[in-house]
Amino acid sequence: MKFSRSSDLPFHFSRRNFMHVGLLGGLGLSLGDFLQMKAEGAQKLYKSMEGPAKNVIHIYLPGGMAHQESWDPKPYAPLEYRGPFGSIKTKIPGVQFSENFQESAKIADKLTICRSMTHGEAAHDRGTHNMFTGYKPSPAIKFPSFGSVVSHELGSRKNLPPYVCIPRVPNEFAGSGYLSSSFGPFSVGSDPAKKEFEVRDLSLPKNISDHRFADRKNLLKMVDAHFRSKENSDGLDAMDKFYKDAYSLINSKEAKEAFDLSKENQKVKERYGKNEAGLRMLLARRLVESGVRFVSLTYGGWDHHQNIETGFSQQAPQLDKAFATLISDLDERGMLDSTLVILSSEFGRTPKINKDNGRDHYPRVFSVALAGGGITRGNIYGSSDAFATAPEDNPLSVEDLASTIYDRIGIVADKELMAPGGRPMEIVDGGKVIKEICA
Amino acid sequence: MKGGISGSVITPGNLLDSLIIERTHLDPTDDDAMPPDNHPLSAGQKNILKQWVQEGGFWPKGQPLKAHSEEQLALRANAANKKLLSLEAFPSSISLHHAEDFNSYTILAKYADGVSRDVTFESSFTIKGPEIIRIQDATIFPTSNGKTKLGVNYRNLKIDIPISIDDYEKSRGISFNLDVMPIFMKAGCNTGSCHGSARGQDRFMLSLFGYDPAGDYFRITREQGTRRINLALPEESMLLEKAIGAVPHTGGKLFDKKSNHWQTLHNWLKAGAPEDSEKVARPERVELFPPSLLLEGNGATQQLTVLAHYSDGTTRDVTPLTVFQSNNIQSAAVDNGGEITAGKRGEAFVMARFNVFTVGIQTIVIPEGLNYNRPKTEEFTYVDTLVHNKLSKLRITPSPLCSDEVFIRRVYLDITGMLPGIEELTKFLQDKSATKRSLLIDQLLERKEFTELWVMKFAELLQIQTDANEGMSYKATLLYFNWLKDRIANNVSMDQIVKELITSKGGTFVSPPTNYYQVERDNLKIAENVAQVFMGMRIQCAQCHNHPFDQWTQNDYYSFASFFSQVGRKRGADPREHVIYNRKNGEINHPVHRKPLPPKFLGGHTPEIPKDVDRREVLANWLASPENPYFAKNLANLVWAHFFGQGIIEPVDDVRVSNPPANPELLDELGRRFTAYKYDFKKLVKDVCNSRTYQLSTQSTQSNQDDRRNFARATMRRLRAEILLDAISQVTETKNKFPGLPRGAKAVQIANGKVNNYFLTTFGRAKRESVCSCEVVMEPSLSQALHLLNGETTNKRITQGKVISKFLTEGQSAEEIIRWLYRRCYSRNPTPDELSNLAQTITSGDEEKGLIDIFWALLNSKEFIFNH
Repeated sequence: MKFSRSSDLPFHFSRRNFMHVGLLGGLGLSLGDFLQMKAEGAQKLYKSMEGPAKNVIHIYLPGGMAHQESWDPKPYAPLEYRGPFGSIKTKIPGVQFSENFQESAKIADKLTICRSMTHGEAAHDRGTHNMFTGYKPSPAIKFPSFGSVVSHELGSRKNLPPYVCIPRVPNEFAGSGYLSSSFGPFSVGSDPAKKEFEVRDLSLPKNISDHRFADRKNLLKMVDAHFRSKENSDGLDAMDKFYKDAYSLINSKEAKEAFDLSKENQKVKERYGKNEAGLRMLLARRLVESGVRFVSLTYGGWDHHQNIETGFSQQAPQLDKAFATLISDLDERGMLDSTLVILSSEFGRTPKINKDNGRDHYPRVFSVALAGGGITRGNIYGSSDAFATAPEDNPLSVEDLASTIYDRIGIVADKELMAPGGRPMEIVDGGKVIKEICA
Repeated sequence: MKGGISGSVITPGNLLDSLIIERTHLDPTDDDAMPPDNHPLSAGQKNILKQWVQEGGFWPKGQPLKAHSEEQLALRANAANKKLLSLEAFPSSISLHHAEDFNSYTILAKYADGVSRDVTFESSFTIKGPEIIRIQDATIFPTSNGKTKLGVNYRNLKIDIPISIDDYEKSRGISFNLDVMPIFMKAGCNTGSCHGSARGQDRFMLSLFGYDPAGDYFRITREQGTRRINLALPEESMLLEKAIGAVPHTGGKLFDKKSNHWQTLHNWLKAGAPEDSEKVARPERVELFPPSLLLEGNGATQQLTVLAHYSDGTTRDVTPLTVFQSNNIQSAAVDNGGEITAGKRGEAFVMARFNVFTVGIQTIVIPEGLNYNRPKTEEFTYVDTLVHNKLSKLRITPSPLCSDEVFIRRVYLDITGMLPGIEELTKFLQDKSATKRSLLIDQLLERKEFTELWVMKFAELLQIQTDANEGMSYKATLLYFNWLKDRIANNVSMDQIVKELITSKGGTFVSPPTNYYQVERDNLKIAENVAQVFMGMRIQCAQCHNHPFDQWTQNDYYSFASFFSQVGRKRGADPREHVIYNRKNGEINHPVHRKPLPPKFLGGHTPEIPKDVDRREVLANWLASPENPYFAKNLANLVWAHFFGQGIIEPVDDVRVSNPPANPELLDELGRRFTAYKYDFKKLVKDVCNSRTYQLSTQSTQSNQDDRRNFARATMRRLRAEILLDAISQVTETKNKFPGLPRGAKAVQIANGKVNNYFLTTFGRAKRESVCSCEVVMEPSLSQALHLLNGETTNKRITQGKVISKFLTEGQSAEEIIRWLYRRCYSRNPTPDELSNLAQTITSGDEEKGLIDIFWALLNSKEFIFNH
């Protein structure tokens, strides 16, 4: 007998194959069971346990905030690269921020600035996808956001939804992706900076007492029973889950008060700034203090293709003040070490000022600011080159950043979650935890 | 078979004299035992050997060999008892050109139960005619010119494969496009995560999936000098050394030195790395064999064959150069060489990608030895026949019919977006006629609510909404919406409506369909929207590179976009009005070679367009016609998705090779009928609603509980935002008030996508910011639960509508009112238990409070919120 091409043999035609089958037979397993076991064993499962970052506040600046005008100024570059703003000293010796970030400069010793963030997506939605999910966009699969993964892995705390968006779900990538929609964000639904700010429907209607609500819940159970006994579907389960969450929220005074900004005194509000940036961050602090695990908030519009000077002058001071206050406030309350604050944007902006005095999309290098929650204090990680055109050292990929964030939260980024079709997907595909920024 | 020193191995027909039988049956520890070292054959393997010797130990010339796993042997043995129907060879005939040519074949046995098996390695072969071929590994190689036949015999079924060979004496020569480029795809060099990335990888870039062969040729041969190739010492070219891992390569070792891929690249380099001449043929299409599969048993295998057809009329077996992928490896895994191995029960779509072509086959896997007989389920319309055909392949039994109560609620909500009234309900339930369901369907289709529902759905697809900054005034929005409403209400056929839209000219006030070009003013985006809405295709990817999961190339994209390159826009007399006209010039340049492409139908031909003829007219005449293979099917799928909660292709606007229809025969037939009905929606809806499949219960049977894609039972669907709000208004007898609409208008009637309403936003109404079907959100959320529990839409409306207090004043009993509430909200009577349990919760003297709470509970219940 002679085989002309061994690659045609699915199992090497040898004793090895017979041996395997024989061994399995001895264990009372069919080859099918064995392969099944192997497939299940192949899914990487780890138990998630709270890490140093017990809470996360993600501040997202839609549009793509220029790194040059914020965390990574280039004071020695020619004017067309340097841009319209000067630089100032910070609490970290030898490190400068743009003059737009005066207050943050004073607390720089509490921050870690990553100046070598890099990815290849120059379109808003694709860049946003990267920064919310830790994945490159795929036409075939919808990835869950950081907040939804945290919700899936760690669940809710103190009757509060684990993942909340302020003022509302910022974009389509902030959702639960391939995970069940029950891990999706709860949208506050209204801007804390508005006078009439109130999270709708948290409280029982005026004429409904707690007692009557309990009766109503009971009735609802009764009218649902018949249908529920006959029917079964994922949609029904998700609905049930949200009703359960809603009951816990409605029945807990503390949980409801987390959303009530009127409980904060005027001085605190003024310290944060009574504007969108300040009050959104203040609400975020209240929420994590009360038990929300992951708060995602947005502020402003940073797509400065034209007149970057005006753009920053109008929005940066509020952002700077609110951000610095948030960090200091958390620290004063002893919460900074357990609260990870991330300030990011979909990308940075082009090295050279364009003909409209603006800068265009630039994902090749930009900056991300991190603080607290097991992240180093007073650290600059990585750098961009002299004109802020490319990472000079320690380029930080989306996957690295995501792995590090998850690591700090207590989630192993290599863990696989089940996507539709029984397809196990790593929480982050590749990427490494950056030890240099972990406290 | 040659023996060793002990003599001949077998004596045909005589087990006792056959050494092979003796040796394999010895005690495994015996020194002479085979296989040696105490590794005996299994009982099954021994039996096969015995059977073979007994049958004469037939060993044909050229018989391909292949090892089988234990399971495959068992499957093979069991198949001997199955009723064999026919034998098929793929390809059915083979033509070879040039000395290097070859073609693999597979032999498929089809059984009476629909199962197919790959019997390539179980059949015997004889060359009938001149011996001009050599067979190795189920592959035919030419040895001389001429014609001959390969005779195939499997269990006494016989077929012939005609073979013709010409130009055997000639060499094909080497081609960059035909030989080298496919290797970059097969070895994974030009994928997005490697050199196909927009910035390349490690400073070497290839076009993603080979969309730009000329650019790739340049980058390999000219970029960075000629460091990537070494024509003096081809073996030492960086291109080769990286690929075989001889020098460090981030992508690792891709193939071996002297492997076929290496040989091809080496030959090309040895030939001086030539560029292709104009004369080199182009691949025009690709065929994948067998066309569909029903595999039985874990471990069953099937080899695929891929045949490329070229512009010079020749074909080539490109199986070794094809990238294979399965969308469900649990059910059907496919290896690098194109062999499928069946796994868990289920369905998979196995795809083959070669050059710019992606083709796929449906593969169904069922467990071995299922005791299944196709049930004699009644078939109301052709829809049922086609659905049952597929279910039968999957060995699934459909659920029973739903009750009349469930049916009337479902059909009212689906056709009219409303709940049935109490009288309508009573009349229907009392009606004893056999045809009452179809009569009801006919009646409902004549109601204006049916029109309104579809106007809403199309208003979403046409993104009807104001946007003053972008030139959509409120007036234009209203005119546009009313135009659409008028067309649909008058049952103007869909092809006519689409033609009016696409070819529209004039002022946006005078000629409202022109707003199609005002809602979206980027002509590339318009081309994308037309493809997505009217053909169900997302071609966006192809703007920058060949579509990674579909057939669309960048050329397809830009040649389709060329239809819109001459759309002109100018201000009208009224500052809010815009005028759309034919500029008669203007082109869109292809980004790679920076030249425009002539307009070409997506998936169709390049039409002759005389000068002065509006390109859009030419497009519209093709787009909304039977010539366009996607138009009717896409609309039929939209209709289907509305009534079943998911399309036959899902999502409905993501038609692509790698997202195949769950039931292609059904979709084809619906498309064919819709065309024959001259694109009349109502007729198609009638077919769908009258089917047994639409009228199934939501409750699963044992065999269909895990199936979600084959319409074996009805699916639970949350009511969409507008319909849920309208239903609440209806049962509470309260009125909505929306901006721009009279009091009491329905949410379904809202013309402007910009209208803001907390309830509608929270329950996921489409924002109309894109044409994507994903705009309508059906997932539940915490905000929805909170709103129904505490919000005004339930609490305020129950008291505002005064339904309960009115009945109480009329002197109705609590039980009567509960019964009314059940019929109103659920379209059924409460069960005796429900009635008595609920009645018990009511304290006498405070009936109103108790009944209001029951009403509230019903509005919060899943039986109300879902269509089932």
